[in-house]
Parts: sequence; C-alpha cells; structure tokens
Amino acid sequence: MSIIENIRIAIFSIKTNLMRSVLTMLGIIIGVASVIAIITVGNGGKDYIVNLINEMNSNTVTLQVASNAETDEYITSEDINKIKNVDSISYVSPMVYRFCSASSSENKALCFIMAGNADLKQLMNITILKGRFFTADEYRNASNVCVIPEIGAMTMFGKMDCLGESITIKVNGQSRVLKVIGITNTDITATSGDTSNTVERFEERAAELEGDFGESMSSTNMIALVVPCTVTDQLIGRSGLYQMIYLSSNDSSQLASIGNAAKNILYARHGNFGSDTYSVVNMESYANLADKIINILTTFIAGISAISLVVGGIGVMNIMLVSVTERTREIGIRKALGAKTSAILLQFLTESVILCLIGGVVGFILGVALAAIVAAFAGIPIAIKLSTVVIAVGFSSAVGIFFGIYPARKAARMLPIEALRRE
Amino acid sequence: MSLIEINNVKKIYNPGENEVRALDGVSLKIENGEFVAIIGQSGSGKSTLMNMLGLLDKCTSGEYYMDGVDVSKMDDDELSDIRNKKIGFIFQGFNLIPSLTAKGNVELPLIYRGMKKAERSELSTKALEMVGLGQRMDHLPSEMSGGQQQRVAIARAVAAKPPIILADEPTGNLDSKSGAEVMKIIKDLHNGGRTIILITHDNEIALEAQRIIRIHDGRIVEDKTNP
Repeated sequence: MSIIENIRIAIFSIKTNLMRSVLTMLGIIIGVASVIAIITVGNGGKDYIVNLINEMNSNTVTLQVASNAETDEYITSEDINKIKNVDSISYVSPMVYRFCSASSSENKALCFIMAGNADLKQLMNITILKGRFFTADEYRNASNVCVIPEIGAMTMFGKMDCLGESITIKVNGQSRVLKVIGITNTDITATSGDTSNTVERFEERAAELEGDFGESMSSTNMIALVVPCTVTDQLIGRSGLYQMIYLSSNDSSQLASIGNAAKNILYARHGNFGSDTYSVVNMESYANLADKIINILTTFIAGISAISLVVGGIGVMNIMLVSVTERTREIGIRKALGAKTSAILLQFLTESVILCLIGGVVGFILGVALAAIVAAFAGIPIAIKLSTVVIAVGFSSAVGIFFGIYPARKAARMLPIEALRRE
Repeated sequence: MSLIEINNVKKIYNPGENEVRALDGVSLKIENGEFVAIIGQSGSGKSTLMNMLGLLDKCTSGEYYMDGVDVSKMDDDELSDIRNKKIGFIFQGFNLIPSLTAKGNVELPLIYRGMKKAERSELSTKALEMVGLGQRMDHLPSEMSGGQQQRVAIARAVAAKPPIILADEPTGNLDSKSGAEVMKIIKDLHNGGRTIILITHDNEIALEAQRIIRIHDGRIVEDKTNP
C-alpha cells in the first residue's frame, strides 16, 4: 500500500464528506491562522522597534556609576581626559541633569538643564540654528553661557532670535545669569538616551521648585538649556565629579569595545576592579531588551492561540472516530483481503494528517492576511519568516498525527470478522 | 499433505453457563483441487466454520494446518498475509467497497500484495473480463445489479490467483438467473484447478459440488462424495 494510494483514499473520503470535513478543518484553520497572525505581527513589530532604537543615537554609549557608589568612585575630569586618549573614542563628555527655575525679563519657567563639555554637541547630535555651541575654553572657564532650543526661546523671550539675551537660573538658592549664545532645533530631552521619563521627573520636581518662584506654578512653562557642566558644578558645589558620561566612536562597530575600554580605565584608576561600580548602557542593549520583551509577549499570545489548535485537534479526532465507525465494514473487507494493521493505521492517519494540513495551509494564508490588515492599521511592516511557515505546517501535521493515532489504532486493531459483521 | 487440515476445532462463545458451542470439535481435511460444499441450516455453525477456514476468526481450541503450516498460532499480520496469498473470498453480501469502482475493488488484494500498478491493472482487467464485466470496469457498485456485483466480487477473489476460493452463500442474495451464472463461473474456476469451498443451506446448490459435508449443531454429521 503506497503513500500515494493512501493519499488518494484520504482525499476521496474527505471529498465524500465535504461539509463535515470543512467544518472539522475550521478548528485547525482558526488555530493556525491566529498563531500565524500573532507571530507575523510580533516579528514585524519587533523589527520596527529595533530599527527605531537603532536609529536613535546609535553611536553613543552611556557609562554610569552605580547609585550606591562612594564619592571617590565618581568619574573625575582627569578620568575623562584619559578616556579621551583612547584611539577609537572620538568624543567624551560628562552628562549632568539638573532641574531648576529659570527666568528672563519676559517670563519664568521650569528648566531642565543638561550639562557637559564641548563634546556634548557631537554626542547629542545638537544642530545649531543660530549662534554657536559653547567652546572648550568656555567649558574650562565655567563661562556663564547657554544653548537654548527654539521652543524655549519662544517661551522665554517671545521670539526666536534671542542671541545675547540673559536667562537667570536658580539652583539650591544660588542664581546665575546665563547669556544665550546658541539656538538649536534639536529636541534635547528626546535625544538623550536615558531621559525618556524626563517630563515625569520634571513634574515631580515642580512642587519642590515652587519655592524658588515664590508663587503658584499652576501654569508652568518648561524649557531646556544646555550649559557647560563646570557652571553646574559651581552651582551644586561639587567640582569635577560625575555619575554619568557619554562617549562615542566614529566607527559604530566599536561601541561595545569603547564602552569596555572606558570601564577598564575607570576601574584601573579607582582601584575597584571586581565591583559593579561602572556599567555601560548603549542602544544595542535597549534594542536587545525590546527584542526580548516582544519575544516573550509573542510566545505568550501564540501559546494562548495554540489552545484553539488543541480544540481543533480534538474536533479532528472526533470526526476520525466517526469515520472509523462508519467504515468499520470497509476496514473488515480490507483486512479480509489482506490489509495489515499498519496499512489500515496509515490509511486513517493519512486522512487526519491531510485534513489538518489543508487546514494548516488555509490557516496560514488567512493568518498572514490578518497580520497584513493589523499591520496596516498599526503602521508596522509584517515579517513572514521561513520559521513561521515551518511552524504552521509542523503544528498542523503534529495535531493531525497526535489526534489521528487513537482512531486509526482503533480501526487497525479490529478483528476482520467483527468488522465484517457490523452493518 | 492436505491443503487444509483442521483437528478438533472448537469455537465457544460466552464460555461458562450460557456458552454457545458454534463449533464443537470439527475435524476435516480438504485436498488440493477439491470442490467441497458445506451444508447446514442457519445456526448450524457453517458460517463459523467458514470464518475459521478463511482465517477471519480465531478458534477457541484445535489445530489448523494449511499446506502443512500451523496457522492457528499466527498473529494478525501473518494471517492477513496468508488470506491475501491463499484465499479468495466470495461473500453472500458481496462486500464491495462502495466508494471504489469495479476495477478499484478487484485491485484491492493486489495492492495489499504490494503489486506494481501496471501489473495490478492487467490482472484486474483480465479477472473482470473473465466474469464478463469488461465493459463495466469503471462502474461503482451502486451502479450495478446484484449479479454484476457478485461477479465483481468473484473477479476480486480470483484476480490474485489464490489456490482456495471460499464462497459463503454466493447465490443467497441473487435471483435464480444471476445465481446460475455465478454458479457456472464457480464451477469453471474449479475446472481450472482451484480448490472451492462453498457454504450453503441450499441442497440443490450443494449438489454442484463433488463432496458434500453436512454440519449440524457445530458437528459434522455427514461427509460424502457426490455421485
């Protein structure tokens, strides 16, 4: 009894009971379609998010000092100079965030200060529309200068062109008058990798800062400023000690290695090898994290939809049992004429596998179509992978074999005379 | 060595208090080329004997040798193999598979023998022509008369050229004309050298055979040569 013969018998039997077969397949179709749709959308979404993350600041590495580190483990200006000497590192800057109040002759605002050295321009991809970024000299001399995004300029001065104007900032009761030397159109808060929750923190701090204004901040304006970190050092009263630095390389393949090189320099200079004081965060690790989260989600949801496959499989088993009962006499005849147990087993197994495979193929097409519709609405690409096809085909034939074995065995083990007696 | 030899075969249903002895110690030898009629009333045990001889059922006790080989201890698959190679069945109810054409039905035992398609086609065509159905090979059983269906069944029984033809009331469901046609074919098969075992309740049909074995209450009560 050849496989082709079995397939012919199976297709014939499916065709004879077309309505019943289609209804049975429906269970498999729905199961496979939902699994495929979820995996396809999940893969597409993953590609999309990973690309998105890779596009952001992909050449920047963030190096952080652990929050429980001692002050003498903080990164110093000398550390930064040493790190800058590494060949593959092109830019290094401290990164200081600070919240304060700001006022101009025209207006008041809550202010998010981002401070670093002159390399910050390159590290943050800051585009200057008017004026210039602060220089290395201004950094060294702690010059009272600042770069302001155009939105902030509108808020504080009601005009874009505010070069040379003054902004007074107040930190810990100390105030400083800064001269605007540059206007940027870069959204500073968005380009900094670690400030996704800046606005939230900003709002948390709003209450504390109210004291500096001496009045209600219910209609609070918010601006951001970029200043030399030497200025913030003086305001905070802590000179040349940093908890976070940014570094970058012109060669993006070097990102992991420059992060480690910088880390090793820090451990060597602070003599705290073996501790977890310094850690590297780059966009790649964010991308990996996103990848992981989406994988878990996809697997989870696909697992839930796999339950419908099991339900569909039970439907197949049910129909195969009916088929066996209906054709008991046929089984008896076949056995009388010399069919071995294995031949009968194979015949019924083939039928259930074909039932499931057809369901699997239809379900796959339907699932991809469903994914395309969902993806079109969500604005993400769909990604059909070979593994998805393999899963669809594999899953449905596995269901066919698993749920087909019981009825097939039942058929194959009948004594010919018992089967022949049955009407 | 006899083609078939059974010794003290018993078939007991519901062993215990309400037991039914369908066969109660039957011994029998059938030689190659014989035409044997087994006759008895319904309930006499003749169908059980036929199932036993055809290896469709297992006896409760006793021995069964076919060509000197003990077949009573064989497993399911070995019995399938013996049935396929040595026995052609003709049933009262034809037992054709309704979804297969005449030719498809005749090819079945050849498929299970593992024969190639071309050979199968040749043998089944020949068998169908032999029973006079060369023109109806592609008909489904439902499209044929009872006599034609039984002739398909005969073609199926002989296509693989088994030495033994086991016919269980082959004319039971047929009108007298078709019945006569079927009996003629069976006699021709015997004349061609086949061993025929015919089970019937009809004395007249039994008279076609060379040897008549009468069975009653699960025992052989008469075994005579037909003059």
